[in-house]
Order: sequence, then structure tokens, then C-alpha cells
Amino acid sequence: MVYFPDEVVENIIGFVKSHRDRNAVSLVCRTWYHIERLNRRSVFVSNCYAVHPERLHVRFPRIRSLSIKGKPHFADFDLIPAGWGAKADPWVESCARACPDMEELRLKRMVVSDECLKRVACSFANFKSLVLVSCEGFSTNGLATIATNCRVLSRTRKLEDLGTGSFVRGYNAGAFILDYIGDDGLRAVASSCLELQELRVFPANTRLEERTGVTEEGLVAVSLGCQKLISVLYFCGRMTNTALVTIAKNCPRLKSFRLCILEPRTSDAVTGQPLDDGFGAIVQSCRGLRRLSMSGLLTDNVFLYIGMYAEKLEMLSVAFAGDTDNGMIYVLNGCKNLKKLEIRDSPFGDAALLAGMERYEAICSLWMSSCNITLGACKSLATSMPNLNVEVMTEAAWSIDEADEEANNAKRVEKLYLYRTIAGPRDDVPGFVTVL
Amino acid sequence: MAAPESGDGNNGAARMVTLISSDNTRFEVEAAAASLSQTLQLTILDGGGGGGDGIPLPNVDSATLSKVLEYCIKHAPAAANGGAPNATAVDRAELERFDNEFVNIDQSVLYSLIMAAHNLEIEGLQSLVAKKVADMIKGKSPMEIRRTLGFPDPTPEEQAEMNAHMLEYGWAYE
Repeated sequence: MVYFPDEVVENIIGFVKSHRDRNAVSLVCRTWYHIERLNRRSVFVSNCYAVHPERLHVRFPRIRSLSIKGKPHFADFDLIPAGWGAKADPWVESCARACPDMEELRLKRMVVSDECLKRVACSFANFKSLVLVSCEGFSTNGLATIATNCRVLSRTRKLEDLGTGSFVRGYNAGAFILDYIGDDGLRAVASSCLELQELRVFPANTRLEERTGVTEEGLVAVSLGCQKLISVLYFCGRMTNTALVTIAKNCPRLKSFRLCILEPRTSDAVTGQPLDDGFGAIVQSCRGLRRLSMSGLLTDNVFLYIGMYAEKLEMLSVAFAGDTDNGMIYVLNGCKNLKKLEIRDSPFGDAALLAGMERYEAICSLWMSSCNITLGACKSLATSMPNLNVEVMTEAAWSIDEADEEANNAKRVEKLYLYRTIAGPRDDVPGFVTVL
Repeated sequence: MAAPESGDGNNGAARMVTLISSDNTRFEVEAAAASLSQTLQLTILDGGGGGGDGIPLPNVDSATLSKVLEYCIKHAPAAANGGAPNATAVDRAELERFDNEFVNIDQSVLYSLIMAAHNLEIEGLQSLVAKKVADMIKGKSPMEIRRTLGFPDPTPEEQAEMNAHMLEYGWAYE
């Protein structure tokens, strides 16, 4: 039998850097589990309600860096009302007590009060970095407290900070660009940044009538010039299947592909067809694809392709897409590695929701808004799946009438957020959220 | 590998020491190379290992010791320069090439090296072999890691414990 002394295992684990590999290593055997947890310096919590802060500190007593995500991703599209939750306070409090050597905190989509920033400033002697992405709740005063109390790199990310179109030369790892650069600007990127791995093109102006922006031609040019692309986020006004097929062929290494055509249900700009075949080509060519966001006119067919080919897909964002329950069912049956599924404004109903029952144990979270699901189906999910928190958000006038169960169950749920948790139901539920 | 002449201390020629493997093979090697081992360094500083005495290494067989000394001899000059801050890019590239080639070996040899590097406390070699094992397990599932490393299958009790951890934690931390 192979036996490694603890110190040897420690050395080996020290060279395993990615969180994914660290998680695998920790499950090799009892010894490796304990050595790994005691040597973990950096932890990433993908949902602040999935685990209690105290529990995290018991498992990983020596962390220096903690990244936490709060609200569901669709918060970026204003789908989460103010006061929903995801406050940073319990996490900061717990770190302050358990982990005074903390050096870095990265918070995404969380509510961070000035009081909370003050606690950060006063609690960690060696604090080096605070990264707040899409966070809210603090003022410049709060940031000033941090700046005066510790040597800290404080970054808040806003669109304005992401660089402008005129500033693209020299980007190799990643280029963040506003779309007024135009297709010609992207051609310049394509010819000057051959090593480019990440491209993000944001809309400078979302009002359609005032937009000039970029089209499928710009992205095709980049895909041809920068074949090492791994990650694409692209806001544009139009797209074609031919362009997507070309992009898929040029950049088979894509791990993340997020295409946002600003006007919902936009069809192929040349043929007027749905964009099913184009996205189908992406999932078929890019076998390592982990993240996909789709837009444009899409039928159930695109989901058939995704279920068939996107074996490694972990996160899928769907908006204004599909025809029937089948669309969602193809994805739930096919994508065995799916961790996050978010759907808005699509015609999927109870049958689709309940078809995934067995999958939700493995899925980290599911968001559905403006679909066709009812309270009855959500309740039935909640009853069958004790490890899930099933939260529904209701319109103001909507209330759960305890007296008439049948009428209740038929009520349409506007927003559903379900997620796996070992922390149980959260204790900061606002009035407009019901935990089933 | 090791020169036959036996220097006796500080008069010009490099000082040599003798190491004796578990199967009684004697290796004569420059003290500077052997001193990459923290374990041996103390003995050597105390004047041990010279002449007919030799330092016995009951945990290391001759095949493994020969491999270990190959590493030490290659790395000794750089180590003598205090981690080689003055080394040229060419030197560094050559050492890197050597290292990559060095660990391109059968798993059983690798395991013997791991234990020898551990027992002899040769820091650079410990890192080199640990990194090699880390590279072997990257991207694999826990069970694949066990199989890759030749661990026996877990006992039902241990498997149950791991399953519990997986249920609780496998997904909460990305």
C-alpha cells in the first residue's frame, strides 16, 4: 500500500491550486481531507446562503482570502427588488471573530454597509485587498474608513472603470471595451491582440434608437484574429447563424460564451431564421464550454442541441427563449454538469420544473422568472427536497391564502429561486419573499 | 558520478563524502552536493562521512540513492550560489529542462524518490516530486486520484465519511 507522510501530502496539495482540484483532493481520503482543510488559504462560496459562515471557519480555520457571491445573477438585470438580502455583515462578523489574519475579501452582488466596511477596517491587521463587484449599500465615507485604517487595495467595479474603446492596444489577457469602438475598432483588436483570451464588449448606450454599436462582423473578426479566446461577453444589435458557426469554428477553446442581443427575440439578421443553429454550432464545437448565455429568437431546438452536446456546461442563462416545456427538459436531462440555470421570460411550466426534481440535488441554483410555473409545483418541490431552499417572490397584491389550497396552488409564481444549502432556511427573509 | 579521489578537508580539492545505501553500495560524492540534504548537512558539517567511515542511509536503496545524487550533483553549483541569484537565463533553463526530464519516470521510482527526498530533507527535490504528483492528479475526481496514485479502495466506513463530506461541501465551495 502506498503511504505518504503528512508532510509529503502537504507538499503535494500545496501545488494543487484550483478550487475544483482542491475539492477533489479533499475527498480522496480522511487524511487528505484534514490536511487539505488545514492548508486551504482561499475559499470561494458561490452562494452566501448555501453555508453558514461559522461552518466555513470550522472547516477552513486558516483562510486568508474569501470570495462570496450573494444575490442571484439576474440581479444584474434588475430582477431582484431592493431589500432582498445578501448582506455581508454576518460574513464579516464571523471572519472578524474566527479569522483575524484575513487578507482579502471579494464580495459580489452583496449589500455592504458603511458599518460593515468599518468592521473590516478595524478587524484585520494584515488586510490587503477588498474587491466589491456589483455591491451596494455603502458610501464613499465607508470606503474612506477602509482607506485610512488599512493598507488596502479597494476596487469597486463600475462600467466607467472598465476602459474605453480607444484603449485597446497591449491587452492580451483580456480586453474590456465599450461598443462605440464599432466593428472597425474590433478589427483593430483582432489584428493587434493575437493572444487575447477574454473579450468583453459592453453597450455604451442601451437606448436602441441612439445606438451605433457593434454587430456580428466585429465578433467574427475577433474570432478570426484571436483564436485563443476563452471567454466572450458581447452586447450587440444583430447576429446571424453564419457568424456564430464561424465563431464556433475559429474558437473551439471557448469556455464561456455570453451573447446579448439587446432587443429580445431578434432573429438572424440576414435570413430571419431563429438562431438555434448558430448556438448549436457553439455547443457542438466548443466541447469545453462551461458557461453560456443566449439571446435572440430561439426555439426548443437550441435546447435539444445544448442537451446533446454541452456536456461540461455549468451555467446556462436563458431569456425569451423556447416554445414548450421540452426545451427546459432537454437541458435538465442532457447537461450532467449543470450547476446554475437561470431562465426569464420563457414559456416553461410546472412539467418542466418538476422534470428536474432529481437534478436539483446536484444543481447549485435555479432561477425562473416570468415563466409559467405555479405555487403548487414549487411547494411540491420544496416538500420533496429538504436540502433545497425554495423561495418564491410575489407581486405586492399577491398573498398566500391559507384557506383555499387549491386556488393557491394554481397561482402563478412570478419569481422562483431555489438553491442547495446546508444552512437551512435563511433568517433574513423580506416580506415579499416566501420560503416554502 | 562520484570522483574516486578523497579530499581530506580544506586543502584545495573538493571535499568528498561517502554515502552507504540500504543494500550496502557506497557512493562517493562531493560534500557540497550531499549537503543539499538537510539531514546529511549536519553530519557533514561535523566532519562525518569522510574517509572509510561513510554515512549509512538505511532507508534508501542504491537505485534510489543514485537517482537522488544525480539531482544533487546537478543542483549543487546553483545552490552554492545561494539559490543562484546570478545564474544566467541559460543556466536556469538548463536546470528546468533537467528537472522536467528527471521526473519523467515510472511511478514506483517516483514514489521511492518522494520518500528519499522526504527522509533526506532535500527541499528542491521535495518540491519537484510533489509538483509532479500534483500534476498527475489535476482535473481528476477523488476516485480517479486514488486509482492514479495506487491507493487501495476506501473501506466502506471511509467511503461513507467521504460521501458525507461530498454531500455537505462538494458543491458549496466552488
